[in-house]
Formats: sequence, C-alpha cells, structure tokens
Amino acid sequence: MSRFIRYIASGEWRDWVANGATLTPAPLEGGGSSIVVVVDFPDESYVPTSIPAVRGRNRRLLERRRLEREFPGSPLRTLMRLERRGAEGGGDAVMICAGGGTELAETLSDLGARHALRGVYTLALLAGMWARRAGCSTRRVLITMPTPAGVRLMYLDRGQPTLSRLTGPLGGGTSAEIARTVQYLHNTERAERGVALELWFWGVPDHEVSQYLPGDSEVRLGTSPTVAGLPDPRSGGFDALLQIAAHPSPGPQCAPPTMRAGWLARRLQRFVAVSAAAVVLLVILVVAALHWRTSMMLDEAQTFRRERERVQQSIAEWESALLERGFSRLEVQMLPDAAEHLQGGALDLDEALAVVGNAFGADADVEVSKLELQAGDPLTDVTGGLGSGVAPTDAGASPPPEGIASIETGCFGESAAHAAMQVDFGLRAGIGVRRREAALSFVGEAATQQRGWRTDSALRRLATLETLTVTGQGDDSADAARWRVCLRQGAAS
Amino acid sequence: MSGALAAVLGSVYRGRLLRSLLLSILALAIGAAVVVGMRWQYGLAQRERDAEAAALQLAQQAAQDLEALRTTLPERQARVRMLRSQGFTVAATRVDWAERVAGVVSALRPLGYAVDVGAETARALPASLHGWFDARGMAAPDFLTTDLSLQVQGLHERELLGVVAAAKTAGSGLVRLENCQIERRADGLGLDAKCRLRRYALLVSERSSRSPVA
Repeated sequence: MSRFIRYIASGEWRDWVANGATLTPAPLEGGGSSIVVVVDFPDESYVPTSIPAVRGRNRRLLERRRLEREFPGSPLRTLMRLERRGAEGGGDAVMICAGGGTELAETLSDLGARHALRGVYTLALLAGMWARRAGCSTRRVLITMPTPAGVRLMYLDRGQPTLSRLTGPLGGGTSAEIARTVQYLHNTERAERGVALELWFWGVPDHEVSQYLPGDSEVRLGTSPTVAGLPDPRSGGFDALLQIAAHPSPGPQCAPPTMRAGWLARRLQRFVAVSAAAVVLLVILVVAALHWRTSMMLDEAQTFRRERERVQQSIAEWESALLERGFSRLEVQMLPDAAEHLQGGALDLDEALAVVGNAFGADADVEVSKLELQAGDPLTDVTGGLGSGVAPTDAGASPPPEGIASIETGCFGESAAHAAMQVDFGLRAGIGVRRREAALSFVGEAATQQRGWRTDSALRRLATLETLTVTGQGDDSADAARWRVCLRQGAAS
Repeated sequence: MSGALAAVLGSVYRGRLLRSLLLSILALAIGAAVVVGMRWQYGLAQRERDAEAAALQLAQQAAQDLEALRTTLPERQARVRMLRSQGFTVAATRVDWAERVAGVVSALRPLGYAVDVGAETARALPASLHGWFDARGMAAPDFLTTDLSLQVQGLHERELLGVVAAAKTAGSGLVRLENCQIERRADGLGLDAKCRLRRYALLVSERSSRSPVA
C-alpha cells in the first residue's frame, strides 16, 4: 500500500507519495491509503510545564486534563517529556498544540474516516525526531527553515521542540525575526544570556545564509551533522523533514485516537492476523509432532503385534506336535500337578496302624479300644507337608466321653491340611500301680517318638497324671481309667 | 491501548476489525479442533500400543512357561499316561466300584457290612491350581469326587487293611482314604470299622484345553 504525505498550511495543502527515500508529488485520491499529515500553522503552540511523579492511568488522566485546560477545544495536541527529575519520576514537559482551529480538525477527521491516518505532525516535532536520531539530543539549537507557508523558527531543547514560530517568507525580515525569537528565549529563560545560541539554517544554501543572520552576537551559526541513513535537512530542508514523516515510525504525533481509527484498525487487524498466523503455525507444529508420535506408536504396536504372532505361532506349533503325540497341553501341564496335590495330607492306614502298634500296642498292658483317623483336606491351600506344625482347630470336635481323660482336645478340625488320628486306650485290669505306671510311661515316651507323627508334649507326663491308689483290697481301683490321645502327621515334638 | 480500541470500535472500521477477529477465532477454533482430533488419535494409538505390549508380554510369559515345561516333558507325559490308565481322567463307574468292594468284603465273611457309594460331586480346584487357569483367562476344570462309605463288623486288622486296599484299587482313578473309625468289639470278635474313601477325577474339557494364547 502506498504511503502518502499531506502537507496542510493555511489555505493550501499538498500531497506526496513516499517510495522509499524519495517523495513524489501525487494527489491523494479515493480511500484506504495510509497517510501522514504535516501541519504548518502560525498558531502552533508550545507550552512548558512540569509533571509530578504519577504513573499509569493517573498520569494519562493528568496529561489529558492539562492539555484540555491549556488547549480547550483543539483535538490536535500532545505532551512530551523533556527530562526526568531524580528518582521521583516527575519532570519537565512541553504541551504542544498543532493549531489550525476547528476547521483543520474537521478536515482531518474527514480524512481519517476515508484513509488510514497514521499521525499528525508539526515540523518542529519532525525536527526533534531528526535531532534525536542524529544524536543531537543534548544540544540547544535554534533552527531556521523555509516552508511553503513561510519561515519556521524552531527551538530544540535537548532534542525536544519547545518553541515554533511561523514568520513571513524568507527575506529581509528573517534576521529580525530570528533576533526577536532569541530575545524571547532569553526573556523566558529558555536560553542563557551571554552565551551565543547555536543557529542552524536548513534548506538554505550556505552562501546565502549570512544575509539572514542577525547582527548581534547572540547567535552562533552552526551546522547540523550529516548522518548516514538520515535525510540531510541542511540541504534538503523541508523535504528532508517530510522524509522523516514518511518513516514507518516517525515518533510522537498530535492526532487523537478517534482521528486515527483507520490506522489503528489496520494495526489491530495486522496484530490479530499475525497472532492468528503464529497460533496456526504453532498448531501446525503441534499437529505435526502429534502425527509423528502417533505414527511411532502405531509402528511400535505393529512391531509388538508381529512379535506376538510369531510367539503364538511357535506355541501353537508346539501344541500341535504335542497333540499329534496324543497329549493336550492342559493334560501335560495340570494332571501331574493335580495328582501330586492330592497326595497332600493322604492317610496311609498301614502306617497309621503301625504307629498305633508301636506307641500303644507294644506294651501288653495297654488296650486300644478305639481309633479314629482323618486324612488332611487336599483342597485347602495350606502348603507344605510334614512338619508344618499347623494344629487343627477345635471346630467340630466332640468332647471325649465321660470317663476318658483327653491329653489334647480338638484332634480333627475343618480343612486341616494334615492327617490326624485319635486313639482311645485303657490299661489291663489288676496289673497294679507299678505296672500301670510303667505302661503309661511307655505310652508317653513311645507316642512322642513316632517318626512323621507328633503329639502334645504333655503326653510324656502321662504316668504322672493318674492318681495312685493303693487299698487294702488291692490297687486296682483305677482299672476303669481311659485316655484319649491325638497324633498328627508332622515332626515329632 | 484501551483508548485505541475504543476509537476503532466506535469508528467505521469496526466491522472490518470484527470480521478479521471472527475469521481469526474461526481459524483458531478449527486449529484447536484439529489438535484435539490429533490428540484423540494419539490416545487411540497409545492405547493400541499398550494393548499390544500387554498381549506380547502375555505371549512371552506363555512361551517361558512352555520352555519350563519342555524340560520336564518326558516325565510328565509318562505320568499322564499312568494317570489315564488309572482312570484319573474319566468319571467313576459307581456300580462297578460298589459291587467290587462288596465282593471283597463278603468274601471275608464279616459279622456284617454295608457299602454305600454317594453322588458324584464337583469341587473347585484349590487356589494354587486355579491360579494357573486364571492367569491365562481359561475356565478351570473341577475335581469330580465320589465317596464310598464302608461299614464292616468283625474283621481282623489285617483283613481290614486288605479291604481298604481293595476298595482303593477297585475305584480306579485316584482314591484316598478320607477317614476311618476302628473300634475293638466288646465281645472280642475282631474290629468294627466305619471308613470313607473318596475317588478324585479331573476331566479336562474341550474349552479349558484350548490354548489361552490362540
């Protein structure tokens, strides 16, 4: 899009189109162009002020109130800070009004409605921008420059314009205007008396400058520096400042946001478009990354699947070979284990009767009256075989009949893992206390020494549990005594 | 910024700006939808990968089990043949069992006897054997059990041992003596015995014999 510059002065306006560093006169037609307006009116005002240390929204409100109070009814105004005082944040500033009255404001509003109005600048503002970019921001200098509306005198204080006067055309009265301006600066203490003020002549050939200098020594003719990459106002004058205005970001300007709505809208649109493009780019990157990761996942899944199928194929082949030999895998896997599991807690009647014979029947005085045997439950999950030492619970065990002394209760329990047997025995009648004691001692020792079977250790004292009675009629009163003993498969205690 | 935005929204450029905003939001929404869709697809792929990894692990575990089985295969095959010949894999023939035991007992001419064969019952495998099937997602078979109750009066100890041994053999399959009460007769004519034997069989069904990884 072409960038236009419109110069507006009293009773005239001119248009240029900017193409890089060159300006070409071209009429602004139609709408939608990007334009910069440079105004050149005699009622341009620069009012020094000082700003207290406020920040943010409060500062903006303060500046707006000051400008409204100083330049009521004129929308083309701005405030520029000169320097900050210490760490407090406040400082000197200058309030600027571009002038031109309400007619100019209406003209610019209409222009802003049809085109993207980037800003409204005064020549003094443009001169200050040039000075700051040229590195002359520490100087105090009075610039004299012819413009289409006359000769403009601009005073730059530390790179900021604090005074701008539009005088008559370049001629004999120019030196007097310069002297008057210098006097004004002295009177308002903006320039130091007794020190020659530096004076730049822009847009006037060097050999012609001397005729426009005031006669006194209050001014000292200087030359503005030539800076690479910047237009040279010393030779270019007014045109050079227009080129500054054509720069993409020329600097502070005077138009309110309502006049610049078109340009602001364009900037916002661009911001939205760039943001959206950045997000879209991010989305594309994320999508690409996800796609890549997804592909990797699927490849991994494919690899796992192939490997699984290979393993399953080999297993199936092995099982087929096994089936051909007449066996199923389940049979080979389970039947031997299941049969072995059923051996747990098995009851061998031969062995059990041998134990009874050794522990009880070996003594002729011992009479076994009853034997009850119970195998371990193979369907419980108590592992281990002999010697696990798990005693059956007393659940379900019937108490011994009356007259039978039980060494240990609860021989058989539910879900016991090991075989157990319960032996009821008595002693022969009429054998006497000595033989009775010997028989019980034998049982107590023998029963606890049976390999693979264990019993209560109290059985060893079986002989001491009987009351010895000797009477005149014979010592056979205990003939009717009966005992019940429990043995379980496990290590001898 | 807020002043600039207010100026734009109050100007003729409002429509243009809102249009570009809407288009950007639409583009963002489409982009977000695409990202969500891709994320969902990624989740699916991840789940598929994890499922295949788990299945592979299962198959590898089965292969390891197989490898462990191979080392003892000859012994196991021999054991299976023996168990089959013993009848461990077939259901009981209850009548034959009862008649054979009764025949053995009656030949000893006891004072009295009774042989009862109970109903066939299914019992679950213990957890240590059940777990093998559960880990492979297979239906575990049940033990089929049949109880034989033997009551005999007036036998000697050696005769009783012979009857119990004969009852175990006559049952085929795997028969255990579960409990026995032996009491000396008060009249001195031998022993009275009440014994219970249980026959176990493990029937491998068609369903549970299929390989879990097929």
